[in-house]
Amino acid sequence: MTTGYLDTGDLIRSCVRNDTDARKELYERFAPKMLSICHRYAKTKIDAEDIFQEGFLKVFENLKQIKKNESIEWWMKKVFVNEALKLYKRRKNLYLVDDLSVLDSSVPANTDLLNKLSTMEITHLIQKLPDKMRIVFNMYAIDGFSHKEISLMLNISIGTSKSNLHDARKTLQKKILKLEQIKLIR
Amino acid sequence: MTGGSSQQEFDDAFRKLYENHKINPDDILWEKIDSRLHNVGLNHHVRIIKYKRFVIVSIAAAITGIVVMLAINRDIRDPHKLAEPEIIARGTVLKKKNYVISDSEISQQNIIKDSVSKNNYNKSLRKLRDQNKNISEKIKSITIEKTGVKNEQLRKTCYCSPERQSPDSTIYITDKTKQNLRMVVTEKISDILFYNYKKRNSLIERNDKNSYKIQKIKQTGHSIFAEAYAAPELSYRMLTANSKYSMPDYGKPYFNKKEKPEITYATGVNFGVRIRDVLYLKSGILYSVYSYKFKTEAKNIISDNFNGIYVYTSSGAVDLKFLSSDSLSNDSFLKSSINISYINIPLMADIYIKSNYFLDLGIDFQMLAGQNMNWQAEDYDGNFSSAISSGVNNIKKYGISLKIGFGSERQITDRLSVLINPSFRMLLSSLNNIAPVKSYPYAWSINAGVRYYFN
Repeated sequence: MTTGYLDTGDLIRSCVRNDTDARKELYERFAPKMLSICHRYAKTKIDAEDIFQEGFLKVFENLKQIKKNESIEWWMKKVFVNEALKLYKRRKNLYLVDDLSVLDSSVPANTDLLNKLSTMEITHLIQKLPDKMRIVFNMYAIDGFSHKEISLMLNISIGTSKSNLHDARKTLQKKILKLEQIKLIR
Repeated sequence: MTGGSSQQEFDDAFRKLYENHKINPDDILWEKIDSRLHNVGLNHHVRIIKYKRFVIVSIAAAITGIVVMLAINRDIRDPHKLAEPEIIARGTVLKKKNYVISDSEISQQNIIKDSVSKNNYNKSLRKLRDQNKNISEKIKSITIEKTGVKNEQLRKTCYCSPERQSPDSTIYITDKTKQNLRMVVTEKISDILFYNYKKRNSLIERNDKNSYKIQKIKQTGHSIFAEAYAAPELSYRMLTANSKYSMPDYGKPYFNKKEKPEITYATGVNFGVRIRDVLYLKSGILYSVYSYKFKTEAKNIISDNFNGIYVYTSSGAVDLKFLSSDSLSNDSFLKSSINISYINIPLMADIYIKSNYFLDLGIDFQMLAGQNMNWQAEDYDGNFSSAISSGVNNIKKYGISLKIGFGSERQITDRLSVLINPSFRMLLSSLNNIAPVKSYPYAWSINAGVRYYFN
């Protein structure tokens, strides 16, 4: 159900004034996209929904802080990513490797295989990555954060970020190959 | 493809895949978020109220502290206490009420001494007037003896008339006689103590032939009093959301709209002791009633529970059992008047800002004494069903109230006075911790009472 907010600025202003209809509309506009992000960052569906709820609460709480020319989608994405990071930091299982040696080995691209898998299957593969790799890979490869931004958000060095990204790519390649082989056998 | 470009392609493939990827959330997720947003708003409101309450209590405590300190230090700054005795001319009428001294009154030394011993000024004045006559006769006889004037000639004189004090106003006596007469009168008015029954702490003594010295004296020992009072009260309450519970639809705004305060009463006795001239501390026992009534659609405040019907009020939930039927229609009206009575132990300070006006500040330790409520359900056909209840569940047995008031005291005899004391009392803790709303009852009251001083 939409309530006729054509302009996102109006919608945000109404949300800031705690207009329930506006909140609902903002939710309906961005919830599917944000839930997709949450699923990529979370290990399980329950975690994804936790991040999703906390993220939207943060969004409504802090909407007035959004800058005038800032893209709301990009801003919301950062909020949800931050919530995901918080969840895993809270569980104290987000340890990031700092092994730059792995950067020397090349990772074979396997985009053809990737295209043969459904988004759901790929999401499952991403979810199976260790926390450290999953988060850095999502942030850099899919969501477009730079290594500098990642290093600041995760409080790690740029080298550590690169190292985890490399590991993530490598692990994903292997998982994609393995999944493809299983499919072929079937 | 190797190196950076292959990695870029790999990443791009993922980015492209998720660029427009969406997962539709379950409806329940929005309901959860909406509910939590509602609670966040309420919690914010609760925080503001708590903050306001903290500020109000802090200000009240600060004002109390300042006033008490001022009261304690007032003795030192009181000009009457430190100033030199005030010298007034003979015959001066002090304008303060109950503080009128005429020369002739003072001249009656014995009578005044008597008034000191009996602390009864009015009675003394009556005696004084009687004695005036005798003294006039005595002076008359002295005058006749000394001057030889005839009795009928002295009729025109007014030696001891309270209105005309000067014995030397007569034209029939010589200077020598006048001197003798003056000696007679002077003996009568030689250094005396005058007890002012109202102030009870003033000394008046002869300064010289034509003036008197008035000095306040510091009263020693403690004044102890007992007072009894009764007060009509208008009890109401402030409601806040209980953040431990999700706010149901029938919550705070609903109660504020549907529940009405009722006029109740409070009555009690206090015993007090004077700490300083302007500061009295008192404590005693007070019985008070908090009451409210409502009539509303049953569907908004009831739910079925394991034991029967559960009715929600702003003070908490009540288990209800109907006498005439087992159930209650959602469409019927439910009405009730709920009375919650308390025994209070007040600990108060009366700070006199003027001789007859005081500030009343302190706390009440409050104990639940009982609950009384009548329930009736009325359907659209006008049929009534009566119900019984066991009282509000989980209502707190103890609490502390803040009390502040302003009073006036009027002396009607030396020991007895009447008091009028409008005041405000508010429970600082909520009535019920596990209700969906927290209720803080407060009452506006006008206390009327009498106070008796033992010394």
